[in-house]
Order: sequence, then C-alpha cells, then structure tokens
Amino acid sequence: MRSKRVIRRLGDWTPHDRRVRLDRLNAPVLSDAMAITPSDSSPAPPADWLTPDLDANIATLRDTLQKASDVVFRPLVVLGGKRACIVYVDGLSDMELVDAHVLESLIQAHSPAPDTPHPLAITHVEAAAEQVTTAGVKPVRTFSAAVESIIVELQVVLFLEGTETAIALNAGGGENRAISEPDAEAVVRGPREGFNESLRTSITLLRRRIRTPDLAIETMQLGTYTQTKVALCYIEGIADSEIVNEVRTRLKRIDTDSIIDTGYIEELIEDNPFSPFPQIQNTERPDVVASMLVEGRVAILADGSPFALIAPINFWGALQAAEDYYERFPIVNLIRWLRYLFMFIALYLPSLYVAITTFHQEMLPTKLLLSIAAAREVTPLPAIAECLLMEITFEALREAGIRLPKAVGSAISIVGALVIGQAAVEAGIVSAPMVIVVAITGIASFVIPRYSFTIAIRILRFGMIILGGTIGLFGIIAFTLAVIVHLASLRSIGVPYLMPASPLTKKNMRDVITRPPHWAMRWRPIETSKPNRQRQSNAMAPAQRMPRGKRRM
Amino acid sequence: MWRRFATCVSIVASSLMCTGCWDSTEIDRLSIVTMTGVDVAEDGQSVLGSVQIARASELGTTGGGSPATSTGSAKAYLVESAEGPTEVEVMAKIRSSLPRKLFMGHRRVIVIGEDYARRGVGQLLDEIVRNPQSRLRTYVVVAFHEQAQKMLQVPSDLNRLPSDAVVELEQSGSVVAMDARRFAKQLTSHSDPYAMGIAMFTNEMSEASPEALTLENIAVFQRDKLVDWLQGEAAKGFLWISRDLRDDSETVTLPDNRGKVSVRLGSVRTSHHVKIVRGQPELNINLHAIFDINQNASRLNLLQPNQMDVVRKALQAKIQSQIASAMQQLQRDQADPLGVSNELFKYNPGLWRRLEPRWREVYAAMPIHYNIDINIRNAGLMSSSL
Repeated sequence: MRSKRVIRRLGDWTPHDRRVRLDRLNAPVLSDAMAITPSDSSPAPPADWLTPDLDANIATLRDTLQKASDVVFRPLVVLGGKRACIVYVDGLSDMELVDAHVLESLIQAHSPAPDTPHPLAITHVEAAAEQVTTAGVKPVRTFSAAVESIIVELQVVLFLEGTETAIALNAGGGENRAISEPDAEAVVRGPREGFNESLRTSITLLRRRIRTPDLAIETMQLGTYTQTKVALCYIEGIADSEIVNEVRTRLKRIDTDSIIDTGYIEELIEDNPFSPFPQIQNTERPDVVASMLVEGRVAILADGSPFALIAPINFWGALQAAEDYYERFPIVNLIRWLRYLFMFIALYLPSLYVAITTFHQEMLPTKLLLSIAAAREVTPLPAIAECLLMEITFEALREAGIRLPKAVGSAISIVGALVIGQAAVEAGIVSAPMVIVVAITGIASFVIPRYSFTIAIRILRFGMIILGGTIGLFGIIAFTLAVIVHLASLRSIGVPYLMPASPLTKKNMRDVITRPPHWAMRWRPIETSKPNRQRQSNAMAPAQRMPRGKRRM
Repeated sequence: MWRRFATCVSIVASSLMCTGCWDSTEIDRLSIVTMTGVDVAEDGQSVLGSVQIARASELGTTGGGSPATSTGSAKAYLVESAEGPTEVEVMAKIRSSLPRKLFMGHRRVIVIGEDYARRGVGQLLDEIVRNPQSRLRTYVVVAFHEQAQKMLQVPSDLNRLPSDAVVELEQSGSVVAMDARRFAKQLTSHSDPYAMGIAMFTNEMSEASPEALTLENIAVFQRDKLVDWLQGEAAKGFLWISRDLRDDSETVTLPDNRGKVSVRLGSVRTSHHVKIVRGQPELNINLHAIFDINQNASRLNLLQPNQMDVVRKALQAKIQSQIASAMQQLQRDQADPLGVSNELFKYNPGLWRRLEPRWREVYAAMPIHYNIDINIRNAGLMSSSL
C-alpha cells in the first residue's frame, strides 16, 4: 500500500524534473525522502558545473561512475598539445567511427594559432568540435549532463583541458540484432522486414515507409532506472488530436522504475486492464505500423522492444492480417470469412459439443448421435470433465511447445500426438470425437492472425465450456450476451471497441465484412481520422478507369 | 474488486462440483429409441407397445479398431415390448425394465399395427404431440395386415438400423412421406389422414436375413380409424394426386401391339378444385406432368410429333385410369384423404355448412372430372432409335 502512494506522488512531477534527478541514479529512487522533496530544475548547484581543470573533472566523473566499470576513460593529446579525455560506454559506441572521426582528426589537428583570424572557432571547444567529423555534436556544461550523455544517450563525451565545456559526440552503434522477418507475423506476399530492439532502427524502418514531414515522432524517456526511449508516432493532419493528446497524457503519467518491453506500456495505458480483450495492438511489422499511421492511428515504439504498440484498435482488426491488403481482394474476402467462421469455432466448438451431448441430444442428426454415443460408451468421465481435461492438456502442450528448446520441440509433438491423441482414445479414457473437437479448436485458434486476441478467445472458451456443461445452451447464450455487453462497453483510447459495427458507421463497415478492393477504400476509419477522412479520389474505380467505349473489350 | 472476483470463482468452482445439474444427461446413460410400434394386446383392450433401441456399443468404434460395419444383424438394436392400458403406461413399463433412460428425441418411425389403427389412433397422436421429447417429424406408417411389433424386429440388409431403412424409403420420393405433424394436421382438419403401409417381404436371395421391410399400399383413415388400403393401381393413382410423388418411372404398352415405351417423371403438378354445379359440388382433378423418355422399346420414331402423341395418349390414359380407380375406391370408402372437404369449407363455407351432416354420402356420389395433361420432352436429345 505504502509504495503505491509514493508512486502516485512521483507521478505528479513533470518528466523533466525526473530527468534532472539523474545524478542521483544510485540513490533509492522510490524512497520517501526523494518523493517528498522533489529536486527543482532551477540552476544547478555550483558543484555540478564543469571546471577548467581536466584532472579535477575526470576525477569527479570517475567518482560518480565508479560502479560502472564498463565506462572507458581514454586520455589523449589533441589540437597539437592539449590534454583531453574521452569517456564512453564500452561496446555501445561505434569504435570505428570514434577512431576514424574523433580520435584521428583530433590528434592530427593543430591548435588554432591565437593570431590567426579564425572565422568560426573561437574557443578550443569549438575548434575541437569543428575537427570532429561526426554528425551530432552537443556542448555539455554540467556533470549531470555529462553523465546523462554517457550513460543514457550513449554518446562519446570529450573533455578538454582548460575549458568548462565538454563535447558530447553521437557515435551510437554497438551490436544490434539484424532486421529479420518476424516469426509470429509471417506473410507469403509482402515486406519481410521486422522491427528490432533498437529504437533507432525501428524508426528508420518506419520513416522509410512514410516520407512526409507530417510524420510526428515524439520521444520521451520512461523508467527511472532504464530511461527507456519511447517514441510516439502519428501523422499530423490525419490523426485525431484528441486521441494523440490522450495517448501522450497516458504515456506521461507512467512513472515506474523500468520499461523493459512495450508490453509494460500496454498494460500501463490500456483502457480496461481487466478485460481479456487486448485494446492495444502489438506488431513487429513496420508495414503494419505504417498502414495504421496513415489511417490516423497512433504508434508507440520503445527502445529494447521489437514490438510496436498501435492504438486505438477495434475488435474486427483482430481478424485482418497484414497480407489481406497485399493479396488480391477476392481470395482475401474468402479467407476473411473463413477467419470469422473459425473464430466462432475456436470460441464455441468445445462448449457446444459438451452442451449438446449432455443436454440437447435431440439437436444432433441421428446417425451422428449414434456415432458419438458409440464412442462415449466406454469413456469414464462426463463430457464436461473430458473436455476440460483435453483443453487444459492442449494448452499445456502449446505452452510447452513455446518454452522448450528447439531441439526437444519435436518430442512434444510426438508426445502430444501419440499419448494424448491415440493412446488416450485407445485406452478408452477419452472419446475420439472429443479429440477431434479439441484438435479443430486448436487449429481454429491459430487461424486468428493476432496472437493477443487469440488469448482472449482461449480464456473465454473455458468459461463457455463450464457454462455449456453445467446449464447447456442457455449458459452459452447467456455468456455470449455478457461478452457482447462487455465488448460494446469496451474502449480503446476512448474509441468504442466494436466501432464500425457499434456505433454503426456504414462507410467503414465494408472493411469489416469484406475486404473491398483498394480503389474502393475511399475513406479512412472515421473513429481515428476525423480531421482528414478521404484516403483517395474516386478516379480509380473501374468505371472511371476505362472509357466507356473500350470497356467492351 | 478482489471480493467480487473471489465470489465469481467460488460460484464457478462450486457449479463444477454439481454433478447432477438439472436435466443434463450423458449420452452413455441414454437408450436411444429409433422406432416404436403400437398394437392391440391379445386381450383386445390394452396396448402392446414396442420400442426399438439402438445399441450404441455395437454401432461404432469402441476403443480402437475399425467400426462395426456388419449390417443386417440383429445385434445393432434390441426390441423391448410391454403391455399396459395406455401408451404412456407402456413406455413407463419398458423404462423400468431397462437400466437407462428412454430417449425418444430420435424416434424416427412410428409403426401402427393394423388392428390398432382400425380401433383408432387418436390417443396415440395425442401422446406424440404432448411429449416434449417426441419429434413431430417422426414418420407414421401402418403395418400391412400385421402386428407392428413384428415389423420392429426385421433387420435391414443395407442399414445397421431398420429405422434408417424405413426413413430412407420414406424420403425416396416415390411414396407418401407422412410424418406425425402432417398426420395430426390432416386429422384436425376436415379431411382424413392417410399413411404408408409397411410390409414384410421374403427375400430368398439374402443370406443375412430372409425378411425385409418395404413400404407399399396406402392406409386410408376415416377420421382416426383405418378403413381401407389402397393397393396396386389405386395406390399409384393416389400417389399421383397426393403431391408427394417426385421420383417415378412408367412403362406404357402402346396400342396395336406397337411395343413399349418407358418414361421418367420430370415434374408433376397436381391440383383439385371443387366446382359447384346446380348447387352440388363436383370435383375437378388436374394433373400436369412432364416426362423424359427413358427407353424406347417400340417401333415408333419419337422425333415425329404424331408418333409421340401416341405415347402421350397412352400415358394419359394409364394415369387417368390409375387416378380414377383410386378415387372410386376412396368414394366407396367415404374417406377423403385428398382434402376435398377442406376445399369446400375454404371456398364455399355456406354450402359446406349445409352439406356437412351428410357430407360422406355427398362425397361418395360426387362426380369427378379428370384433366390430365402429359408432356414428353427431350426426345430429340438422341436421334431416332437404333
């Protein structure tokens, strides 16, 4: 209880204040003392200013960073005789770049002769800055700023003898995972790039797809210890500013010690944390993010996570895969309807089986009933227990399949197929129709393209089974109604979750029921793109594309 | 929040513990009734009821291995009988002799013994309509000169359950498909119900079971009592006007020894109207049928319209005589399964009220006009016969 209250008080501070407190990184952040006396952003105390004495500066810095053994202090002589020192975090700077553009140019450069009229460089610092051939250069005047540059920004900081200003140089680099195709969202046709853990790379991938100055990328740092860079992306002029403001407010409200993955952010900003349905989409695909941005939605990327968050989303998007928009529309329509069908199967099939075989036997065709009756003749458990047993086993198998090392992964499928599929039926413990039902349900849950949505279906399926097995079809219908009521009240960043269907907006319903051809998708979703609804002109429709006379051909 | 969650969890958990929830019944605790039969017991008063129960354990795969595919064996079902004052009483008696609950939801056929049918089926229909488990799509058949109980014991050569065989026969399109709903509807209207007769025949060639079931003859009721059977030509004639005929083929012998032509029924439309002539009702029966040539075993060239006319006329004469013989027998029996009285009641209620007390006599003496229109198509799909 106690810690909760503290966090709430911390939340009242502006993020700027929090960043200033960097010099106290090693102090317990959530201690009450800190919370009560927020440090102010007024001029830093004199002790924080850099001095002209290089040795003193380095000594102070060494003292501050004494625990961080991966910080490298490299003394050198530059500008023809001046002592200097560069400080950086080992392994996180591009050393080739530092060698070629910082060290080499500085060591070889000569000190500006005092009498030479120098047009630009006035101080040594500026002279040094001029010699350095990297892109980003920033002056640093305080110790805390220097520490932030080194530790948070991962810059190389150059201290010079005789000046009170150090230079922070962008030499970002270090090892990153290569850009690869996301496993969970593979496509047959479409781009195969995926985000990686570096925010810079991810934003590059995004910018490569949306080359407009209207693409807004607002960065902020979240997590008092991790200082994770988080980027809020949207397209100015399409995105509804109310939504953008709401997302920004919710992001700014986050005050926690760490943001390890965007999953943290999702849980901290979603509308209804207790709903099984995800209200924020996550994706590894830059093309998905780009298409969402041009629909007026907002994306959140974070350093250290390849998953971008997209909000607001609706229920129907869960059944739309990225590839739907890359393949030609007739087959996509059929596949989309297949997904709808299998979503219902994934949700209802086991519960319907249990309900019908224990309550409503008259609903089955006679021959089917007799087959099921024959199979159930030897099984010891009631249908509901059998169904729960099999479903839970299946969930365990799935979980085991994810966690197991790849080398042993095939063992799971053998155990699953042989032991549960065959042996259980042959031993007469589980009836064969139940195995079929569970298998079809399992396949159906993989048909849903969005993994986080499948989780909701999986959770609800168990509720359905229990209600279907205890009060029959009545229970299934009652639970369905409850789910529909819940969905209708659910919101994603304030936007109704069932949006084009409820409240009904006919223009956008087409992309829910079908996938219209691209030339017919004239309007952006109304819920996200209020300022700018028209996606394209109508001139690409077939009637406009071909002159009347030629259409006979 | 936590309290609410805990409450929900405990409710769900305790509902899992409930084993006997309301009317939940596992399939393996049911005895699935596929066919029932009713007869008059030997004492002439009480009801002899029989049920045919599917033996699920014999019907599918049980614990591996291929499913039992043997047909024609009596192992796939068992027949239980009991006597009692009413049908419900009989069911209760059978129930008490079985370890499992009788499940009537899948009863597909009700066989009525001839003696029972002659005594009246009203109380049986009442039970069928009132029983919530009972399907109204259950087919009703009458055992032809036989006890229903016997019919339940006859195995089918092709189907594992005899009830499946009867259902398939009923759905074949060449007999009247009379189910309980239609039967009750006929009974509650002004007309009389009818049903297919079910009969045993001996099949010498079959090794598994020499006896088999077939649907033939039409049982004609007067109100709820069986009065007569339409057989042979008359049964066929009634089928023509009953609107149930979908699948049929006819062979006509042409006059003057010119051979035979077989035709296949394409479609048939039939209607009947009551026309009032000088205050008296007369019945018009219209039939329009389209046939394809099935086989030409004659010396005619069917591409010639005048030669085709010969076939048409012969076919027309044959069908008309079949219908006429059916109508004559129905008039003799004073039974009205066609619904002529309904027709009169709907379109001429004043006259119906006057005629109702002596309707049966009026019906028996009613003049009937036939208007049979036959069309034979597609003779030209082939050139003249070889």
